[in-house]
Amino acid sequence: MSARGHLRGGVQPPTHKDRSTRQAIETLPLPPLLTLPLGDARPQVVAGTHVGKGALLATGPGLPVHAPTSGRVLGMEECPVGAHSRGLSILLEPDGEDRWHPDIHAPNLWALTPSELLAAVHSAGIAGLGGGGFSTARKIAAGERFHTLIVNGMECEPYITADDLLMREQATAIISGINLAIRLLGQPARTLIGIEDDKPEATAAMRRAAENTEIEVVSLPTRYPSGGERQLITLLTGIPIPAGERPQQSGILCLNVATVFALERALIFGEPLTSRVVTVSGGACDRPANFWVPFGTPFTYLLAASDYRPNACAGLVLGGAMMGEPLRDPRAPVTRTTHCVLALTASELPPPQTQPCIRCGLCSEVCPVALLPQQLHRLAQTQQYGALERHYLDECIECGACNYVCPSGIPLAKQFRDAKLALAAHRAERARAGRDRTRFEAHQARVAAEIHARRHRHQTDSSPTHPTPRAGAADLAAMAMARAAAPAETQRAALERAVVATVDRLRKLEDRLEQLPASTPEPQRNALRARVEQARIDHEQAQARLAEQRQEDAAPPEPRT
Amino acid sequence: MSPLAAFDGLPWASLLVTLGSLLAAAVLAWRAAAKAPDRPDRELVERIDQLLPQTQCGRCGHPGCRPYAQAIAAGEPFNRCPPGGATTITALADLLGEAPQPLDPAHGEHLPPRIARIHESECIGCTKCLPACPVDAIIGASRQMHTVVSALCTGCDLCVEPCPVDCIEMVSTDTYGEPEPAPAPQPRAAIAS
Amino acid sequence: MTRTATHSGVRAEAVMHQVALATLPGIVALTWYFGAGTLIQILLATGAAMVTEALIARLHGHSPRTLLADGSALVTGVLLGIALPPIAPWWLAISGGIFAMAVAKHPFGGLGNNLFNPAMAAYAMLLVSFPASMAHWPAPLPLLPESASWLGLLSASNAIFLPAAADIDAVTLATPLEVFRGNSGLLVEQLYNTHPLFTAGDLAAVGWETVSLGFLFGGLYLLIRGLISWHAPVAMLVTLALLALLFGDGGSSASQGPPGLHLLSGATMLGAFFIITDPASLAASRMGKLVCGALTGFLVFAVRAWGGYPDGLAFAVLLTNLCVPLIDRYTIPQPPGHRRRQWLGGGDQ
Repeated sequence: MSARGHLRGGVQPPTHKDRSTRQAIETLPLPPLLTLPLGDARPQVVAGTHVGKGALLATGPGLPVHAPTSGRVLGMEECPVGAHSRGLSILLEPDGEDRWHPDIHAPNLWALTPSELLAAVHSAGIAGLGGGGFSTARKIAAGERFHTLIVNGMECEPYITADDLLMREQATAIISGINLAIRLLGQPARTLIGIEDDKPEATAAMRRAAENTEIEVVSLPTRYPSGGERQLITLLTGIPIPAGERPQQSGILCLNVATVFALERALIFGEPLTSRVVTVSGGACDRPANFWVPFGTPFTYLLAASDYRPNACAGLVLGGAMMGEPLRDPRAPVTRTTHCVLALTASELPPPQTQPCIRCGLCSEVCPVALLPQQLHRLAQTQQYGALERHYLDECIECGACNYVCPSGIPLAKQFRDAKLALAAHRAERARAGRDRTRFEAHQARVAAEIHARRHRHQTDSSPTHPTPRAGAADLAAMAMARAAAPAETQRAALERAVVATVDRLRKLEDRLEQLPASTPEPQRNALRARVEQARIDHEQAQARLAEQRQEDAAPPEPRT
Repeated sequence: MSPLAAFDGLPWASLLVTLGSLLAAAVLAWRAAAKAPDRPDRELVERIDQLLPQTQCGRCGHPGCRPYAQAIAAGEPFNRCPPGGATTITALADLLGEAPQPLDPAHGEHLPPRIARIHESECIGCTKCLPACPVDAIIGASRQMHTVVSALCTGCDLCVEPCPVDCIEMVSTDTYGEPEPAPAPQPRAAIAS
Repeated sequence: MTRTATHSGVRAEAVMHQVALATLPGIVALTWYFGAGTLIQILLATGAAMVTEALIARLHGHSPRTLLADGSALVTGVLLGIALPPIAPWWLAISGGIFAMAVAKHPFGGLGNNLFNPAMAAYAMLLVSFPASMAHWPAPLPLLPESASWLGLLSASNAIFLPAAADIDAVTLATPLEVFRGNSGLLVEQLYNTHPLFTAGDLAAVGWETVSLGFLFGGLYLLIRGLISWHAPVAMLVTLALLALLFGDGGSSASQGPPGLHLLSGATMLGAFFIITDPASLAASRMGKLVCGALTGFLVFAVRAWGGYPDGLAFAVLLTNLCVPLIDRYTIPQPPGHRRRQWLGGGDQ
């Protein structure tokens, strides 16, 4: 079968994939030290503990952290994480034996209920390995009534070949993982594997492994970003996912091939996810290749293994050549979401100088989500948040196709990523202001009610029918009813007294303001002015209420029908 | 020669085009009217109030943001809001169609976001700061220790002055917890796979 | 160190140079039929535009090279030079080039921010200021009187630089659009059979049709290279042809001209492929481009049929440019997955 839908826009950059597909995935000797970022997890081990491979090191609300090999926990330290941040990490010194933790054993698949299976998937640390990094179990749990399972073997970004080689070498295991996923989803009607047509070996291997199953392997044209989750789903099924919803809410689940492979290792062998395939490529690497890398391995170690020439390198990139980010500190470790490290030469990078936008519109032609990057660019520069929302900034998938074609060399995707953050901050600020306004209004209403209650209490104290000398908040309702029942004459007298009292207060405050010494600092003076104005408002309100009351007294209320 | 004279020789064509354009215009106008969101033109005061930071600090000389919004609508200068700073002034200038002005220094200077913090060991539980708070963000009772709910504090400063023992301090939100962290951005979509 | 993404390698100056290159077939046809004056006009207008741009760069404190490098002044100058009559006096091209840069482009913020197409703004300024000089088009080569020969560089220079001394009336002829504008008694068929412009022409008027086809050819090159999108040109040409058909009136003497005449004379093809496709002053979305094109087509026809000028491209383009912000606002495309169309009534708060 072929594609049902089509990709809007997109680009076809040179793929540079053949560089790293010449040899099989390599396994490197263990590095001397592994750095395992904790994220939001809390450590479960103390410094000095000797742990086996797969031992639980930390758990938390997110994904757990397991030991990628056996060794000694040295402690915790703030270490570089990802492209440009830092975070608390566990330091593990491998002992070189790579011995499994004794508790690691294959689960009895048939004895587990679906929810227990999902829990097992989560506690094995299985997450989207295509770059998302969400817990796969939570992704599945967020949907129901799945009718389609889509396995993403597109790998459409230039240079990256990790999934390609994994499919060539582990096709049978991937199919077995897909069968497990099918079980987890409750037997969806269709299962599709999408692979770009520049990977004929991987497609053939997957077709062979999928023989005699219901799984369809679909070869799709090579076009970036057809491997984006929504883009692939639309390509394969023709179903557009409603904006603001996740595919699983429409009954479609999309999993990366590497994730499916990890699922197989976890459910068949009981192994938590502690390693992955990483592509190391780029012109400044003399020996570009794919490696099986335990999490926590520093990028410097990987780059050294692929004969990286620092002098030739003009930029280290974490991730692919379209969406990757500049790697600030190459000592940062490989994590679940690391699929590629690039050491690019100057000729592989775009020219550094940026020219002003000429509104040529090439960007909007290639945008896979039909945005108008040339408009967003201008709106982002001038921080017009409302207009950014109306131009669907939130729909930007940051694929970088616009960067690729921009003749002025503007880093549009980066700008949109920043603009999204700024828009989120702006929304939070608006929400805060709205909340403060509501609370201020509530405060004023409460103060007004209290003043009123106090005044009413003075009146009713003399009246034996209302024995409420102490008015708490709970009595306010009763007092309001009493006020409604009270004769109009008393109310009018009260209102007249209020007018006199407020005018008195206003005069006093005004006098105080006038008599302030000239040396009084301005803020203090302003505070007094504010009180004067508040008094004036109180006075005007009292007068208005009195006028209302007089009108009411003049015209007797009509009987209700 | 009148421009309409050109139509003289072609009655059917002019009729068709005229009627067609009228029909198209009517359809467009109807659709616009039908689809226009239910958005009555809000009062100017309301729109100004939307742009003010809602700190309710009174430094502008008005008891709260809304009274100041009313004053601006009545013609008062819009550069008297220190908590809003240049951002608010620019937004107001945009709304009012006037040139932005620098913040009026007589009303204080713009500071980074701050919140009040009570030094609890010094608090004597006098409750004097409680009514001063415009958003009821201070919890306390007589002779009990008071505390500021930092997530609700607007940083208005109004509680500092009434405190008889000077135990309330304004601290930068950078050093003392965020009042409300911005929602985490959506994690980046995965395309590489 | 912020560069990461790979890049197609196509730069802005390359886009501009391609556009300038694509005008070549039209320029060759113009030169063949109307003399070498066009080349001089292009030189004058381009020179004036580039010098002005360099001066403005100096005023801004930039190096003139950085501004000139993007090639946009070159394109503006070339387009203005093409649009001017080949034997117009020299100061028209010079003042037009200066106006395009110093009034129509840079006060709005320079390249990409200009509300109006600079070449057309300059052309319109010249047209309303010097209507007589702007109306003198030489006769196409086959229709030149016996006494005159092809206007070579020398004779064209004479006409351009010594306008007072040159007897340009000897070589001028009404343009096809002027012929139709002046026609009051003849059926279209009679006009086509009697007027030398049309008897010598294969599709419409001799010379003009070839020039138009030259620009059409260049425009198709830009389309194939993906440097312009088809939306605006197609919408403009279709609208213009439909209106001409509608008001053709069966070829009577009141006819506003058959579609072929409207498509293949005046500045139609130049406008459709080189002027309204100027991205800075065109709507951003595909739908917006269609609307812009159709609006320009309508306005071109309106000026030609009922306006005060024989051709109306410059005014049509400027009026459309004015509408672009509005069109942009109501034609924001919806990403996939959005059901509600809000192209009307979707304004901001």
